Amino acid sequence: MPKQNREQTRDQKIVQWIRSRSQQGQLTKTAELLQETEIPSRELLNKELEALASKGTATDLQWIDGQDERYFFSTKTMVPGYAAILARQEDRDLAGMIADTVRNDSKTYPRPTPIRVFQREPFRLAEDELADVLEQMKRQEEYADIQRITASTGAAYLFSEDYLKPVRARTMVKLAEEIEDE
Amino acid sequence: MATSKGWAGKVLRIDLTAEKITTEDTSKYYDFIGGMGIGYKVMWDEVPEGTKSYDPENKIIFGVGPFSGTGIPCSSRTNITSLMPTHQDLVGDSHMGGHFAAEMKFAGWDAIILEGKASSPVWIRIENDKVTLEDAGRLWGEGTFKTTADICTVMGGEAHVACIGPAGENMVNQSIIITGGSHSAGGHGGVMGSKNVKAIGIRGTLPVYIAANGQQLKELDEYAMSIIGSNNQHVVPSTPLPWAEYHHARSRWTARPGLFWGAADPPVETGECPPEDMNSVGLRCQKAVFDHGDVAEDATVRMGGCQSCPIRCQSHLEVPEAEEFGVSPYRSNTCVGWSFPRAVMLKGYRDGSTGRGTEEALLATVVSSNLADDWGLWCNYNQITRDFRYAYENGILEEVLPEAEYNEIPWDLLEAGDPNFLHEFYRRVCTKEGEFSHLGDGSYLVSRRWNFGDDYYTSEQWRLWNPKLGFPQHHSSETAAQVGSLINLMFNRDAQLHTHVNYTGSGLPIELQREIAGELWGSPDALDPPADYTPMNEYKAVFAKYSLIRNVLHDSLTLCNWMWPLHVSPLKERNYRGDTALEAKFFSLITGIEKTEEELDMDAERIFTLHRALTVKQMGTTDMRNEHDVMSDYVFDRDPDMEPFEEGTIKMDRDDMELAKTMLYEKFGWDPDSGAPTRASLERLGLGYVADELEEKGLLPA
Repeated sequence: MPKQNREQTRDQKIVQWIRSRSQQGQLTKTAELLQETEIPSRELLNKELEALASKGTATDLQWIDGQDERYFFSTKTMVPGYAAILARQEDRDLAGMIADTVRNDSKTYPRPTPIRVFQREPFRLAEDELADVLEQMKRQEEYADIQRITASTGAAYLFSEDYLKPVRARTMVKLAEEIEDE
Repeated sequence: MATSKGWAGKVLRIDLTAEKITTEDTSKYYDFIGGMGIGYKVMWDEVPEGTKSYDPENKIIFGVGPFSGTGIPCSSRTNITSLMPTHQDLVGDSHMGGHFAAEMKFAGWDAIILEGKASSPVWIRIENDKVTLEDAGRLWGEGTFKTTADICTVMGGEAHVACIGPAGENMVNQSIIITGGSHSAGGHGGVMGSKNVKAIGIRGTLPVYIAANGQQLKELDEYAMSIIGSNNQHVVPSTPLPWAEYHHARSRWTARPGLFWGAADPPVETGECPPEDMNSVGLRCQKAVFDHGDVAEDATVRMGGCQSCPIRCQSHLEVPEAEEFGVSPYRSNTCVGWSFPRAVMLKGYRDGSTGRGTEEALLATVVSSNLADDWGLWCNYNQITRDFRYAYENGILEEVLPEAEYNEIPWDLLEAGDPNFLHEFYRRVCTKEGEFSHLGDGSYLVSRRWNFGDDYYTSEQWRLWNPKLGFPQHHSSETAAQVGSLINLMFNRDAQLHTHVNYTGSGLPIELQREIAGELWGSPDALDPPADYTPMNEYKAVFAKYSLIRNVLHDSLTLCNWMWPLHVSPLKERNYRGDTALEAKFFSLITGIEKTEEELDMDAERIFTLHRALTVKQMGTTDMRNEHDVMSDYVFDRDPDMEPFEEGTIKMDRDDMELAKTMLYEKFGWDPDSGAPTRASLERLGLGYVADELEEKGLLPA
């Protein structure tokens, strides 16, 4: 097979692999692709994928640079925000994952974030694990903007002071817990 | 305008006093569409002012519109119109879902008007055009579940039943009419009881004719389904999902991988439910966990709902322990159908928990919901439990109940969180047993009878929105500021209106919501960010008017206002836009009468203005601003350390709200001082005869 065709087939295989994993709700690490291809180095592979993503047929390919890994996904079946959550999980940066989510909620919607959501898909933190991470975050300067509110119902929420005033966050929690259910 | 496409073409009138059953042509009501519109028109034309709710001269109208029975999504809503005993005998509407509306159409009826009073208890048997009054002596005193089952035994399993329980029979003001075991219309059960009517059983086998061909309807239906969201038209999921650009924890689109109908056999996973997958629309809303918390997942048998509804907002639960308390382990309901029964347990549950989220809470809720709907008690949008709490916690019950009665009530069960207390609560209220039963009178009456303190009328804790009429807030100032506030002023009961709250609750980011608001209502300033309010502006008045008339439109077509209008969609490729012209598109296809969105809104404005005129006539005053359109002080006095329009409070400003009223009145063309319809505003809508009558009575603004 001519080299050009071989490369096309290999490229197609890589793209298909990433798309398929995205469809299953998973990221694809560079390390995984290295095992699936004959490309000898991480640098070469990343370079090739960057080139591929700039072409017309694979512009859906995107990546996130994690702490030690590059994570690829296809925007055909996965939005960047979801991929970012998965990347933080892969990096075991749970505090960063929580902070990203809380800041985005406080800024975008805006709304305080119920802590219970971090026990559900896609976060899936165990109760103890979540409590430990939140406790650690209290002591880390980079998360000083993340504050906690407990509603009259006992439900706990987080918000970012960078985007929501505490008094507003308290009102929003009260409305969410006491009134909006009706 | 004569057509019977969409409409069945006939109205059934039953004079219970004379035992006379007649048929009328629906076409005289076409300008009022159907459902609520027919109800108000009949009340205006036929029920004289001064009539009380339980007088034989009062009428009760079951109305459906041209959409019911056609299969249009979410179109099996029955509108019930009559005077409301809880709210100073003013006209009001109650609504129920289920299958009854569609069955009315299949039997060939657009409305059923009940008038007079039967000499002894009857139930009404309708099989297409065969209508008979049947002896209900055997059913009188029975709960709604047995009544429904017995009538279905007689008529066959395909029949649908709307009935009252003992509460309605005993003319407890706060009574329901219920169909399908859990679809209840609150407030008119006592009126049906006052007429000695236990139930209506209906079975239809006729077609509903539509003007368009089936393919045209199918195509529009598929288009509607492509932009429909989940319950309350929430268009983003409650948790992050791979396909979802946005999510919102309060969204009723609760489906996610790992969330099940846990008591189904085998369990059914709700899954990702991407918007383009039409086959999973019915899985989007796992409402049990939304209403009860995660504890309800394992108790969920399935989600159910109304005829023609793809959304399925009713959770069907199985809680075996409920049998220990003498009720069925199976129960279905949604929203306040759960939260009111749960709140009867003022002091929490046997495990010491309160609120929701525990197995004990779920058990007590299922027991209480079974009893509430079987006895047929209405909650006045949860206000009955606040009345109960106020009277109990302030020692009022100890003061007003005769000593023997007070000592007889097992308060120890209430304090211990024992669900057996619920039997006492419902039996006493629904059989009018003793002074305690006045809890069922309605908030206006019981609060005065038992001398509630001023704080009841003015404190945020008790949420009594309108102290003059005795109804609570219902998506009011906390929802879109002045818009929700204005909406809560306009009806004679709690505003069962979701046009605005569906929009603000869609789950989309605020800037996107404001952008779309600009397209719909003239400016992004129509919508304030949550808890960051601004003074009144004309765009908010447009938003409020739109919300009001769309609600009336839905209750007349008849459509579910918990879903419609489809302002927004879950589709990124549409930039999350919905289609507010869909009602008009369906109307034109179904009836063959071409109407634009604006023309159909005008019809709804006619209906809403008639409601306003009816209220003016019944109250005998044009001063709606001060006598009707009022709200409790807490709306203005909450957060005493903050000023209105300060970031972080939803506190409203008195002068600003008066301005808001003026601006809304002007949008309707009403008198800006009094808020009463003017001759010009009535004549513009073809209601000149209403203006004439009001003028004759001195009730038309100069």
